[in-house]
Amino acid sequence: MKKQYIQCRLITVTAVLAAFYAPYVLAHHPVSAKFDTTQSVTLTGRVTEVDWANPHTHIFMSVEDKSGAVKNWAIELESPIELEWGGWRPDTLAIGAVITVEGPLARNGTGQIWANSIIKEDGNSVFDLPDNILESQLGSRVEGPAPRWPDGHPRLGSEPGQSGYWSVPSQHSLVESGVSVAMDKHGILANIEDAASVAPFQDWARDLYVIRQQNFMKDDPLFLYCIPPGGPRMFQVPYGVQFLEQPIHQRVTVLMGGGNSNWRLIHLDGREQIGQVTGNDNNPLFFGRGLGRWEGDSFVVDSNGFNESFWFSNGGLPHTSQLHLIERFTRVDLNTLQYEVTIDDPGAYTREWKSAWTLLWVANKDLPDHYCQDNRP
Amino acid sequence: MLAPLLAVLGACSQSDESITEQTKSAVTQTTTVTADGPPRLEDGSVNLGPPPGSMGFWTANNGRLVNDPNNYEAARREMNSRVNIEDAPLQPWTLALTNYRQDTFIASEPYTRCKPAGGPRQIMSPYGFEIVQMPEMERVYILTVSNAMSYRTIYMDGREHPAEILRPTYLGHSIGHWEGDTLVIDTVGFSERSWTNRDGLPTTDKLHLTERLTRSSLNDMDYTFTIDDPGAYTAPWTSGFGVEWNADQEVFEYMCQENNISPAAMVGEGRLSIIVP
Repeated sequence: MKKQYIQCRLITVTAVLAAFYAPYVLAHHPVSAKFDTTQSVTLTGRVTEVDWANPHTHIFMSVEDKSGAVKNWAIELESPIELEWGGWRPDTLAIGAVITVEGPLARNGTGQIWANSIIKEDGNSVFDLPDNILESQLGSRVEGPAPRWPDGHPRLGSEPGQSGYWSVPSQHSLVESGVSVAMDKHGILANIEDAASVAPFQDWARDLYVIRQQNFMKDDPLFLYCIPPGGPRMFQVPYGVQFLEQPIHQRVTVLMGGGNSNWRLIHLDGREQIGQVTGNDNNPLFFGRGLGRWEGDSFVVDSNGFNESFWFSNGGLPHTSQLHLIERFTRVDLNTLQYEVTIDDPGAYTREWKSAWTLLWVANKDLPDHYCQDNRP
Repeated sequence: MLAPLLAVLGACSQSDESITEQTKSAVTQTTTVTADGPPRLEDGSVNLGPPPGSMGFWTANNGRLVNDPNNYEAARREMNSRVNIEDAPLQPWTLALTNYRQDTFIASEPYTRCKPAGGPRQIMSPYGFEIVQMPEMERVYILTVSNAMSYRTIYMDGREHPAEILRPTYLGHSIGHWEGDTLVIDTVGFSERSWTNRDGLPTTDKLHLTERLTRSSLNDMDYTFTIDDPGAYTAPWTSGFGVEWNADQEVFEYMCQENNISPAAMVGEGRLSIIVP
């Protein structure tokens, strides 16, 4: 039903061998994980299909080469969520439209290109986004104190009759508090020499972190298999989190705007950390076994029982099944949630260490629908 | 003929046993205590979750949309659906597609590829679901245990569906209201990327689904749905099944993708898309 191979003329295929950096890299994983961003090509062809699906949008385009052979290329773009925030729609590009695409090619040699730009025949650019597109979630906001429950502790969610969620993290990877290193929104270091200062790694963990960095996180199970972001990573990803507080059940449910719209439970009922059903030592979990309590205005969550099948931070910092987390959530005002995590993992680190950042309140909106499985097989 | 049949049944039961035997017996255990009417929230509406101070969640392990006495799954003949597959008003193309899916032993089933599934299929999740009512937020959420471990949002704030849905989803856009003690959920905006049930009944993006959840007692809930999909059926049709309460148990983490990580093994090399990482 798709992939009509419509003939079109090839205008240019230009390889730029000079160092080249994609200017827009907000994708869920580094563009460089899949595409060779040191080179750029320009292709002109005719649109055969628009796949408006998560995690990334794809445009398919037929391009004719010098010999007259027609090849169908996959053009990768940001998630449809972000494209929609930017005002773009699935019918912005019509099937059959002639477009010129510029961007890096897939490292694996398949016919895939990341679109730095898409220009239509009339010269107009489409699907371009500002660098701060994630902040467009925030909308217009009012200032105010943290809303509170009748018992006095701050609400992690909205006041009655309203809605909202937390997003736009101020930091995108675990980095030990007090350490300042330059990195992008995927936690890829600007200077790999900084790796050892990011956290008190054991040697093997530092070496693995460096390998993951040098591979541009291409083995990230979130990217490869839609494995959900467990641990602190769920508070680093682009589409936010929402807390469902149920005092009568002494439970908090964390809904995730990324992954497959997953949920994580935190129990406040004073149970022992023997875990939920199936969360025993023989079956460690992606979200761990979380026990919560209030300490003043801070919601403190103590979790262990993690498996090693996920990456617990952007950037590829390793963890082991010995991981024990203490997370502190403090809503300091209406719009600001402070997140501080203590990492205790004697399997990967030489001592306990902390990392902290803030999340911002997205008022009167619900989490975007995101299913990572959308255009997976 | 029998050998491949058994192979398929074996594969299915294997996937169903990815939790421990201990858990499985716990999940299927239901209390026999009967109560007078359903539990209620402070505002008087029916509580579709556990009464305060207790735990519990729902399973409809036997849920079927239709019965087909000739179905490849002989062991499932006794299930509790209310219509036969002959009575589902399939259009010729959807009848042919359903037969094809059954003839090929549901080999192209999206569910086993960890695709979320909405509507009746969410309610019949093998390991169950919990309904989380948030009256202050005017939302109801359904947390699914199995499959992709997704949540579904049901807006109870009186809003309409969006005038235009740019990106149809597996679970659709749900709005709900109470009719007496019945929660009525109205959903549109479905993608065509999942199957409505294990039998392979197709739906299209024209699907308009109405679901009715009626908890008659602590332990029993009736689930009825109407599929109105002029893209796939010649007329709206209705079915349903009973849902059982699992007292003193709670929903748990289940990550389909945990051991479902080989695109090649899942769909075969020949069907791999170039965009798969």
